[in-house]
Amino acid sequence: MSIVTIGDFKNYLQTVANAVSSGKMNVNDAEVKSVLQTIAAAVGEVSATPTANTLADRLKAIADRLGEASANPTANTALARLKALEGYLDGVEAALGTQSDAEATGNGSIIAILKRLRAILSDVWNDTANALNVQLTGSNLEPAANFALSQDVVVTSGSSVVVYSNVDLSKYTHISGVFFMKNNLWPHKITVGWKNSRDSIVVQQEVVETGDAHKIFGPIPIITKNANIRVVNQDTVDRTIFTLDIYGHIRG
Amino acid sequence: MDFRNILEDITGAGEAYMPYAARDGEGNWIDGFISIDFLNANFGQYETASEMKAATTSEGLRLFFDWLVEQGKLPA
Repeated sequence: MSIVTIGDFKNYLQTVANAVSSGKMNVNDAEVKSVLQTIAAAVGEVSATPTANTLADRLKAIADRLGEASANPTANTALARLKALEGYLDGVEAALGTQSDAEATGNGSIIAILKRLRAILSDVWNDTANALNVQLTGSNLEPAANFALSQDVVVTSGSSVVVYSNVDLSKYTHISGVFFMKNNLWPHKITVGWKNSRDSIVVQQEVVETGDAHKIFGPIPIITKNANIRVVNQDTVDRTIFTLDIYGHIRG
Repeated sequence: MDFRNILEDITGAGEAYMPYAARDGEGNWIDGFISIDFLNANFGQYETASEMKAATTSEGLRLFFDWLVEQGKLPA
């Protein structure tokens, strides 16, 4: 059968209404029956398998896709999918916990574990002071001398220069260093001139071997409380120091 | 030229005073030391400051050779 639209219905009914209102009564039973049959055919029948493309058929298709509101909706219906989502959300909600959850030292809700983390971090970090409350294990290094990048020094060929003079190393047990040359590796030495109480160099210690490709050195045991740090350019051209940082190993 | 004859080892490690050992970021010269063995190895074959300056691109070394001339330790 052909598809009857809502517009068609409206036209059929208008036809009947016009006939009645004009007093012509030129609509006989057969014609009314015909219209009603057309409407009935468009509506379709209430059954498990309504005639295709009727209103009942379309409504059943929608109902089938929605599924039924029950503990176990038919699989792959909209209600079944919503029920599955509800289950997932319940799980997420349970995992998150509530704001009143107590701090958890073992397993617990996410809020309980976050509370524990916050407590641990508060032990380590003083937010008001913007500083650590404790020294972390292994973090016993601190800068003893820094060479600012804006202070690049060009060392003359064959020459040596004291980059750090009279560095106070009294609170360290050892020193280490990081040395970067500008652009490329060049033959060099780094020496530590250990000074006595009369400000004289008593030991001139090489901490980087001649031509050594390594750019880090140490840890070197502290010999005296004060020292000069020197860079020796052994190349045949002038060379630029980019970075030479000295780190002290804190006692204890 | 044997630089051991005109320079004094002031550190005990074969190093002489060098007024142009380095230059800071603002172009100021910093004094330090220079290896006498390095000078002999690279400039020992020359006799005059002019020859030595011609053999290097180092600005500090050129000034150093001029300074040695002013000191009367090296022929111009």
